[in-house]
Formats: sequence, C-alpha cells, structure tokens
Amino acid sequence: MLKYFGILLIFSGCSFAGFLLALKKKKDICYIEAMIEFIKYIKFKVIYFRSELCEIYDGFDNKFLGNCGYLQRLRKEGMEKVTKEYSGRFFVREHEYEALISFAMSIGKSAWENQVEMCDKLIILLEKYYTELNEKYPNEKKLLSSLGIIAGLLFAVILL
Amino acid sequence: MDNILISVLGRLDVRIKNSVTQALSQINKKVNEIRIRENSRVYLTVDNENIPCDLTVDRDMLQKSFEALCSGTLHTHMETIKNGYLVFGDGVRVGVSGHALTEEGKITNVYDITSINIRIPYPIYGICDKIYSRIKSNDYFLNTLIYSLPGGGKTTMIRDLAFTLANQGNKRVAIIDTRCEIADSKLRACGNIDIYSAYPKARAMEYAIRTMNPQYLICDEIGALDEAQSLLSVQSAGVPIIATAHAKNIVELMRRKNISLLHENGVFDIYVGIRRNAEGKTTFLFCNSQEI
Repeated sequence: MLKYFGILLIFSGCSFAGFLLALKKKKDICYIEAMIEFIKYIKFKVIYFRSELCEIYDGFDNKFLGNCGYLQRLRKEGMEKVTKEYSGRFFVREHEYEALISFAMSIGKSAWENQVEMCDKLIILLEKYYTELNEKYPNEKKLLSSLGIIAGLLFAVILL
Repeated sequence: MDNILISVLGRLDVRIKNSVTQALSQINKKVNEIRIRENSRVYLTVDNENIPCDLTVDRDMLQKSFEALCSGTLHTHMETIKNGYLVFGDGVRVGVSGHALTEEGKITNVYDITSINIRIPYPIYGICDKIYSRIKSNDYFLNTLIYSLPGGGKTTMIRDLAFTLANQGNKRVAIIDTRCEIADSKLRACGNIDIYSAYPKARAMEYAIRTMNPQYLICDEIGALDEAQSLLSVQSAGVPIIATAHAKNIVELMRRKNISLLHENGVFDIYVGIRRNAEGKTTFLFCNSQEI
C-alpha cells in the first residue's frame, strides 16, 4: 500500500515540477514585460518632466515588480544593483541582460536627449525579445508539462 | 550647524565633508561658500575671506559630490548646468564649471566638471524692517532697486520683503526666481505668492503682468537689455517693482547702461545700497531717484 502511495507521490511530484518549470518560464516573460513598462515610464518622465530618479522610482507602480520586491529595493538600492540581481534571478538572455545592465548603470548620467535615446533602443530590443518568448511559450509549456508527466510515469514504472 | 549646511555636507564625499566640518569647528563663523576644485584644496569663503581646508580633492571625490548634488540625475539639471549652475534643496545654488561643447555659439553639453562652488543661503526673516519705513509710501512700497556687491544680502532682503508683503501686507506678489534662489519652503508656504522658477526674466515678467495680476513684482539681479525693456513694460502696467542689481555704489550702478536707461525713464523711485564692512556689520544707503 505504502509502495503505491509512494509511486503516486513521485508521479505527482514530477508532474508538478514540470508545471513549476513552465510557470517559471511565464514569470521570466512577465519580468521582461514589466521592465518594458518601466523603461517606457522612465522615458515619459524624462521627456515631459525631467524628473529626478528618486521621483521616477517612487512614482512607478507595477504589480509583478511590486510582488517580487523589485520596486521596494529599487527605491533603496538604485537601479543598477537591483536590476543585476533580478535579471539573474529571472532568466534573461545574455544580450538582453547586458543591455538592461548597461542601461541601469547609465541612467541619470547624461542629458535628457541621450536618456530618451537609450530608452528607445532598449524598448525596441526588449519588445522583440518579449515577442520571441511569447511565441515560444505555448510549446515550451506543453513540453515541460509533458516531460514532467512522462518522467513521473517513468519513475512509477521503474518502481513498480 | 544650520540645517541647510547639514544637508549640503550630507551630499558631499565623506572625506570632503569631514575636512569641511573640521575646518568649520575651528572657524566658528558662518560659511558663505564651499569651493571644491579638482587637484586643489577645498576652500571656504567666510566674510569674503578664502580659507583653505587640509584636504586636496581628487577627481573621484569631486565626481561623487557632483553626482550627489544632482541627486544622481544629470538630465534634470542639465539645462541649468549649461548656464553654469545647478540648484539643490532649499535655494542652494551650486556654481559649476567644466568643459563645454558648443554648436553655433550655443552650449549643447557640459562635461568633465572640474570646479563646483556651493553657496550656502541663510534666509533671515525680519531683516526688511531695517529698510521698510524708508521704502514705504502710505499704503504702497516705492519702486525700489536694491544694489550691493555679490554676497551682500540682496536676495535675503527681497525674500523677506516678498514674505512681508504677501503675509503681513496681504498683497499678491509675483516673484521672478530665474535661478531658484529666492523662494524657499517658508516663502512657498505663505500663500499670495506666484513664483516663476527658472523662467527667463524678461518673459516671466511679461507673463506675470498679463496673467497673474500681481500687486508687486519682485525680481533678482536685473541688468540685461531685454530685462530692462520688460521692466519698462511692467512700469507702464502700473505694478510696483522691487528688484536687485550688482554694484559697489550708486555711481557704479548708474554707469551700467541698462540701469541708467531705467533711471532715465523713472522706473525706480528709490535706490537702496547694502554695504558690509570687514567685521560683517551691514549698513544701508538710501538715495531717492530725484537726488541723482
């Protein structure tokens, strides 16, 4: 009896792991989406108000970035440090990661026209990346969920 | 130590802050300016004397201090930096010099900052009592031009005059605060005051007269031709003016072409000179326009 219960547990665990991996992929996409919104907000505040960084950080709100703690830490630690950590925590492809970090390091350090140009370039890059990820996600979700179930079944068969 | 000075020191590189704090504890007087230059000692201006501190500033210290004074946001301050200054906190003006990029005679960018001069304001309210009775005529203030050398107390005086007019006199006051030095938090909170921050003076005067209907117009450091012409328009609108200008004495003041143009057109009724002696004592010199 216990054996069958253990097998069921392993099967459920593997299926759930597949599901969690798929959810993590979704969170990676949500992070990119949230960062695009943030960069657009920065651009808006720079063009129309020439706002200081602390004012920009205080004024921005995003559910995803708020829930994961990015915004709270942003206001205390600055964009460079927090973006480095979170862009590592959520998987961001190397090219886009370098672009994000480079932007975070240079924000506030040049005239408004340069800032806006940097925002525009980063938005284009991240939107392209976001579109790619969104197109791949449905297949990846199916694959990861299926792999989880298959792995669970495999273990179940081996143990039986 | 004054709150404004504390907030300024809090923005400086910690080594500069410590050096200045140590020097101030030995001087025991109010510091007017803190000068920070690359590869030079920090200097304090106290009663027009230059007092060196025991620290030589390197590029890193200067850059850190400059970035902190800009609140880490250069794009907010770039326009004023191109005009040679930035404004921090409650009316603290920071003079900035470095390397300018120009295009067709206009400064498009400033980089490689090598000197900053932090001017510490000491708002004094109640100081206008010393000249109040001389520039008041029945229910109104006369059109007044206050002059002195730089650091003489002109801005302090007109700040207090604005506060007195708006707060006690219940008058509508428009302040042309091009360099954001006049209005502090107390003045902003008092009501009855319209402040034109960072506007070009001539245009701000025009807008104020056209749209704000002030009972008094206050303007700091007039001297350019377009400002003089705008003041002539203000005069024709019948709005009393209180303004300031740089000059050592009345003779030097009248030698300035645009000031003498205003005098010839009878814009100002009275000229008030502020003079400070070596001991820091302030005297006021009054001269009616008919006497010149």
